[in-house]
Amino acid sequence: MTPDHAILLAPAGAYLVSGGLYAWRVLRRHRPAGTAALIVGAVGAAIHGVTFAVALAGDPHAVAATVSSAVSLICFLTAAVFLTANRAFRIEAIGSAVLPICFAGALFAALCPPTAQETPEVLRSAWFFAHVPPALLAYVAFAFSFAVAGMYLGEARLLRSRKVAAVIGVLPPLDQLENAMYRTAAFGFLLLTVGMATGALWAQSVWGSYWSWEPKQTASLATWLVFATYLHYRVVRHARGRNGAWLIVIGFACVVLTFVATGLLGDDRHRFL
Amino acid sequence: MCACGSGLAMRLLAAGVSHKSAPVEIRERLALPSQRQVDALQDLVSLPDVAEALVLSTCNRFELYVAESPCSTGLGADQLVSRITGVPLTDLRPHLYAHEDESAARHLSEVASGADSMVLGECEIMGQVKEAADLARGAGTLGMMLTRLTDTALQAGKRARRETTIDQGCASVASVGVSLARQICGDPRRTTALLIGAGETAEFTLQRLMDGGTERVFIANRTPGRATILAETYGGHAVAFEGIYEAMVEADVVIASTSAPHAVVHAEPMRQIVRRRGARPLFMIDLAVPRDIEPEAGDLDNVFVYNIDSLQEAVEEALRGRESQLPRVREICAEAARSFQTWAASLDLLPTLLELRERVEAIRLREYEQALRDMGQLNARQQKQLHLMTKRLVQGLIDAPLSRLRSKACDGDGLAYLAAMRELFGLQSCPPAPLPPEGDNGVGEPVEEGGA
Repeated sequence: MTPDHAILLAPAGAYLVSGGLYAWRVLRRHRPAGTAALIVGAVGAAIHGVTFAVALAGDPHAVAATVSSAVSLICFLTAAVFLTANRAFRIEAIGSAVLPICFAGALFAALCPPTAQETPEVLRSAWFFAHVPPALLAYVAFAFSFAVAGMYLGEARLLRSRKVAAVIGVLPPLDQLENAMYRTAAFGFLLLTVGMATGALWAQSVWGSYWSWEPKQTASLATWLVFATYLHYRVVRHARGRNGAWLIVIGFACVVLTFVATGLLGDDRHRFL
Repeated sequence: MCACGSGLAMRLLAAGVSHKSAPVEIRERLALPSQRQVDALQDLVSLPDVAEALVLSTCNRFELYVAESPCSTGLGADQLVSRITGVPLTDLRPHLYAHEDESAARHLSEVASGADSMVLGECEIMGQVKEAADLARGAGTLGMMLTRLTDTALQAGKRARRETTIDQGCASVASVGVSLARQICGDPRRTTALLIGAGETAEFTLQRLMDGGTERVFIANRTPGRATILAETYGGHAVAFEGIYEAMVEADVVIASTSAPHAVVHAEPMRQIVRRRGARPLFMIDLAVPRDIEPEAGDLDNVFVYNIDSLQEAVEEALRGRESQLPRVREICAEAARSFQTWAASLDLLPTLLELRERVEAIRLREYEQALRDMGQLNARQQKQLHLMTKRLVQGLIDAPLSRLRSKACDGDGLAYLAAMRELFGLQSCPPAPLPPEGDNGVGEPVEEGGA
């Protein structure tokens, strides 16, 4: 762990504490805990944001040049979006699911720093801005969708086993969770599609072929297919409730796999990522 | 000493019956309609014993709170209850409970916080206490002491609900049903309900759903005529009994309560229906015994079936949860009562404190003016210094004994200390009447005897 990356332990810790406070807020109906969670999370996100601001001032391409910094950026954006929306929509229950994801990602980024320090020349291209932001934002949306799907599954299970007191007034209405999970998944799917399309065009301009079945591409395609399946069934009204939520969980597993696959088996194209 | 035995300026007395102490046969004899309450309250304060009066009359309790005037002849609150309700004391006595001062304040606080209610933590009682206070205020029988009492109790009630979960969870089958409907289907205004058969609880649940904003209602009944009547009552659409599955495509909440000896909603046709419903969850409440909905329907994805037992269980769980809050609520009420008592005790001291301050101030002024005359020409600054010096001197001397007197008053030794203080400072032998209560009521003048 280098000092540069050790600093990520601060936001990681803050996300963990914040997630715990959100859980406390919801389970114990303790309102001040929600405020405390927001403040702690915001402090963590601020520190996290500063590290990116510093990196961006140096080399904008570097922020997405390695697996660890890409994961870190996704977690930062997820936390930032949630904490902003938290003020606007009072969706504190979801914080207890979203912030632990941010914690896991930030911890990973802190503990597994990249080996290569140089930003590869191929990234210094205008295509970078057409490909990377939509792809990263798609993952942010999927992280939300996954958190909400997890909550949906938990709530449905509690309702099915008649644990009324654990649900009423504690968790958001099931119907709303289903809707939120669908919308975030649809949004993420759209962005992922854009990201994959621009990626293919970029590959064509650099390497002369749109698609080369390297691990990152393959895993992304799997993600795309899972979410496409979910949306297809959701829109034509077949994948209801649990099945849909499980598809989203599988989809997010594919996202995680994307990073693992590139980290372990990456070849030339996405090796840096 | 005063004729008013205790010597305290005003005592708070309470007596009453509740669902815990008396059967409904007694409670119904005590219930007073609000117009008669006004007359009764005014009748009470016309007695020389009573300075202020308040009646709390609900279907589960009848309680009378009075502030006894300083020179009461010792008429008990139980006699007053009997007087205003016309129920002989012999009938009342076995069921009556009585409280005084701090314990009365604690009791009303517990009542207001719902700790003494039949359904623990229910919040209608707050409104009822407020109404009782307004009624007494309107009748002119709510003075300083009972105003403080009701404020104390209402604040304790609010605090109990804010700081504990005594009002959390659903305390009836209908409210569990409605809360679950909201939890599963979201906004009740976008929810469609289907009533199959019409039991009492089912209709009540439907009513509660509609209070929450549900507008679209389908009603199915074995007897089409009855369905039409119900549909008119609730502004819904009557559907043929054979059409219930079709109606379930639209409905979000199904309330079944037929008296059929077998299930009327089967899992197999439901499978088709659920597919046609799309992503919306379906919540089914089965209030019938034997059950109307095949339990297998609950295994379908996105279908949640609750029968009467599971709802009843949820109610009991909620009530157990509320019960676990009782010690904390009682603590809050005891705290409120203590602060009420401190206030009431300082009310007793008030005349003495004022008198003593006046006496001391008179001495100070006399000496200050004497000094001014003796010292001749002093400039404004020097005069001010002298004035401040005398003030500080006097305050330094009396502040400590006065604050100690206040704290003793709360411990119950107050009277002895009060008497000693009056004696030592040579104040009048009997404390003058306390501040008169608001409104026109017969506060007796204190009767003075010879030296203390």
